[in-house]
Amino acid sequence: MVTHVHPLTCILLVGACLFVASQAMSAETRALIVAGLGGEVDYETQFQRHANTSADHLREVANDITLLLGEAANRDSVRSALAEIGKRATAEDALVMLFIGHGSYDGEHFRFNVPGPDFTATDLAGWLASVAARRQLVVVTGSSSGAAQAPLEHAGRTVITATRSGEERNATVFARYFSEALGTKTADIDKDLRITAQEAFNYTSHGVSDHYSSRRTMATEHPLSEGPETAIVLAQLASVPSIGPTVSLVDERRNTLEQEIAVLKAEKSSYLVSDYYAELQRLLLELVVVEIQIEDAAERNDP
Amino acid sequence: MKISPSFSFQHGRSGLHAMHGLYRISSALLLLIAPFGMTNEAVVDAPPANAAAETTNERPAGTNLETLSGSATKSASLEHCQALHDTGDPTAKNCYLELLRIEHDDAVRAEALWRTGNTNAANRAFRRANQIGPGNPDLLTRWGLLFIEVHQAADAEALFKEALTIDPLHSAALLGHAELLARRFEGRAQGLIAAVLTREPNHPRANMLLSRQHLEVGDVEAARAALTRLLDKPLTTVDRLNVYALLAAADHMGGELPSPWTGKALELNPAFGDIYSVPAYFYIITRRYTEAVALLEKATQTNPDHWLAHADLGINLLRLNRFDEAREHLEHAYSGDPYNAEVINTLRLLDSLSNFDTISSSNLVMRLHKSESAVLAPYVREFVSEAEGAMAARYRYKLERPVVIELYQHHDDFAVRTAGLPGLGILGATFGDVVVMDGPSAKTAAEGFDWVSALWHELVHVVTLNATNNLVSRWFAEGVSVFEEWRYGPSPNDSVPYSFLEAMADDRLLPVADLDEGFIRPRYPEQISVSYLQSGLLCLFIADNFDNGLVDILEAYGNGATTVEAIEQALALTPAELDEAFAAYLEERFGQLVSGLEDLRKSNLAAAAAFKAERWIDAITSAEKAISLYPEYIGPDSAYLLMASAAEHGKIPDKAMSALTRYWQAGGRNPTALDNLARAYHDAANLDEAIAVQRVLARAVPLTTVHHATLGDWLSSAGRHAEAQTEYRSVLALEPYDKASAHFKLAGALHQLNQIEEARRQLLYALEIAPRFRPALLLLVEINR
Repeated sequence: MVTHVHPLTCILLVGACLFVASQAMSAETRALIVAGLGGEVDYETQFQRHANTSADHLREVANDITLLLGEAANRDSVRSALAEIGKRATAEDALVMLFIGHGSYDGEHFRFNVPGPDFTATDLAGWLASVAARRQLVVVTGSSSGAAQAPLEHAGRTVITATRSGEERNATVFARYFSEALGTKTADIDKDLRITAQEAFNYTSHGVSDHYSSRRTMATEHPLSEGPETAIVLAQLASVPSIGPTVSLVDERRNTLEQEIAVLKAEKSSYLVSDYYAELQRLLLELVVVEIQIEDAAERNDP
Repeated sequence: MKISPSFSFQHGRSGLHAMHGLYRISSALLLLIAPFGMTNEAVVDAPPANAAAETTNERPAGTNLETLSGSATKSASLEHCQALHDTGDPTAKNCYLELLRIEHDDAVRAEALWRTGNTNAANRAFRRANQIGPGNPDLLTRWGLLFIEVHQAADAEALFKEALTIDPLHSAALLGHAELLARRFEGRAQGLIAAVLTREPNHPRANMLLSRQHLEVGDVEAARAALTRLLDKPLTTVDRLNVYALLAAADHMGGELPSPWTGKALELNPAFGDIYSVPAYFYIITRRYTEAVALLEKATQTNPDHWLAHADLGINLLRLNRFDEAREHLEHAYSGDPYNAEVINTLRLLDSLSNFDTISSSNLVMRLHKSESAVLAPYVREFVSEAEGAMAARYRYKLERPVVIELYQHHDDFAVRTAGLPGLGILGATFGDVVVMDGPSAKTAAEGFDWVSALWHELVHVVTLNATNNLVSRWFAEGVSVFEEWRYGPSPNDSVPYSFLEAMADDRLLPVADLDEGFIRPRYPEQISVSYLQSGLLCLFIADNFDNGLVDILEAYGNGATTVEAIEQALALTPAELDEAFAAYLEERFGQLVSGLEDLRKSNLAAAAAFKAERWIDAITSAEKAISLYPEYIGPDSAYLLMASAAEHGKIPDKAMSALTRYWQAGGRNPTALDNLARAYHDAANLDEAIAVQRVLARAVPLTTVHHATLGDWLSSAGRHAEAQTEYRSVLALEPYDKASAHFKLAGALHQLNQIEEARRQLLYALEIAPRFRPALLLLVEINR
């Protein structure tokens, strides 16, 4: 399985990009998905549907997935699941956690609502301390989830919440759009056939905003992403050719071309418009050739 | 109970200002109350909820201007100052200041302060006078009139009502209240005026109010009769001036110019600006803005401190698309009267127009919000072009000047543009060549707002107003617009709402000669909408039964005919004969439906009840019965929609499809229904019908990306690439989330149209966002091959 680094990340770290990419090549994505207590049948059904949908998409990019639904989604099982993942995870791995359900905030603690005793964001931060994976993504989709941001703040960890604070206490629509993002081409802004966490967040924010404005109602949730812009891939929209060692040079050339395009875009204002697009076209036409070489190699099943 | 003495007017130009639900039309209405201008100190604290409750001792108050009975010297002084003012004597102000120096009676001081423009101090003086001598209806009425002058109608009304609880027959209070009601065009005003005239047939103000009511519906002779009876009676100078102003208005409305009353008034008071602004008011309410502006310009020249005339001039210059001059007068009005909500709101709106694009061509000027202009401009251009051609042929009139169209994103902005105040109950307005209306984001199709039909309606007004030099009657102008919407508009249909059928059943329709009354002074809540429908049906009847009937009536109005004359000349019928023939037509068309209204109502209720109980088959059966009784009905509570939804829930797709198809064919435009129908057609491989429905949907809901994108895709599938590229351009104009795909699709359509360079540009835009976008890369290769 291959984990790709988002090209935009490379703009910032052109020199380090290849290194990061090669590191990521050997990494695993591990995921924990929890559907919390619905309180009502409709919510219960929704939460489980979104959790299942998300898990289905994540399976395309991750082999290690733990899905907790219904009574199994309790405090102890979440803690145990993270402990088990901690045993398997290496520092190079990515850890994705998706908490779909209601939350609450008492002015001090954010609590994720599960059967039995709830757990707090502080509890979760403590359980994560033993997981070595340096790249982590926590997504909390419910009411008041903004209050989970501060306790979960940690180097290398991106925290996405449905609300910007604990005071936004109404039920949210965030999870619907987030799970939808993992399966739609529209969310794939860079058209690399993969949905990164950042793309999923952007799509979800747009969807949530549209949801309220189209109904002419006040928005009661404002999604928030804090921490590093993450290139963790959450879904794959189509099969991506497997690249064997003999085409790695071609693959490197693709990465180089993408970097050159990124640099060109960053320097756009210093070009004449016609020169800029001529150069862009030149690079793109070369990129096509490389893409076709990679595809051909994959079709030949080049070892 | 006391209410807070703090007053709600905001200072400065921020936010929309409402005037306690009042819709003030013009300065002209104030002439009956007080002839004085205002200064920038004019803000007034609200009176206590029950003014009498503020009493602190039992000393009776000296009261109003007419009945001051304190000292003869003081009374004489106030009257002397008043006389100076009424004749425009520049020493009047000094007279009042001198009076204020020597006078201690708060009631007298209030009057003097009012006339020196210090309305805030005048209010405090009235308050003190009321505390000292409570329960005096004269004082309360004068205080109420002060509140009218400073645009605080609700406070004024409370004071008039309080005066009337003390003396139910108090003429001045009755007329003060009538004045407020008349401003809202409420029929109840007539009852209050009549109550005064019954006891005092020659009461000046009562007769003036009555004459104004007559003039508002174009009855010039009745207005003159009410006024001329006053001329040989003893009148104060102010009353005489006001009578002259109304007589001048009657001359203007009757087309008998120049009016001798203008000179007479200016002889009495050379600074009497209302001799122009009062006739201007009647031009405004009959939509003759050019004439109104000319008079208001004279009013402001005659009295440069006539702030209300400046305000009205500014607002009406805007209706003539003369923005720079309008702003100048509005700012001048604001400098003298910063509490006029209409002025503040309109200035604020003008400030916000920097967010609009102005797109001009030889026949059209569009003002559209920058965020919407790229999407809406093509539609507006298409409608105007289509409407102009169709109208020119049907009404033998070609527009000579460009039409100006402004679409607003927020209803209150449209309302301010139209009337200076938020809360207006209409959706569009036409001022000669200028159309202003709610745009598709101000009200949605889901709310029942069909913006394209509304635009068509207003464009018809442009024709009927211009063809008659704005002389067309209200009923006919609205009638032709409604008829055009039904028969030739973008959403043709034969659906008449239940409210009209109920009015017909209850015999609440008006004779054609009085039909304007239904718009101007409605007597029951739905009468305006019923009058629209009645007028539309009447025009439909005329169009179908009289060759060139509508055109001939329009021409007659253009030649200055009254409604009675226009009907007689164009149709060779008396209005009564037309009423009779129209009644027979209505009976034939709706008689059975009206007599079966109860059955229809029961069927609709049964369908709704069954739907709520999730008894889908029963809901479908009852809805089918309602449809059989009134198949043309496509209102928001249409039985077709209920049946389609019940069939969908009951998993009877054929029935749902049938209901939606019939709804669509009857002219139904509910966006959800159209969306479902278009997809059903598409799923059934009926691409042409799917495109037809989707096209209407994309036009009805033009600011929703997905409708354009879907239509573009279907048009591409059908090989209609030129139309597809239009839709993809709309998608891009809406700043879609997935811009790369939108550029790519547009590139595809352009490639099919062999517009290679533009296709290449769009592909590069797409790939700039998404360099790995495989289909776009491949198309780029193909283009470069």
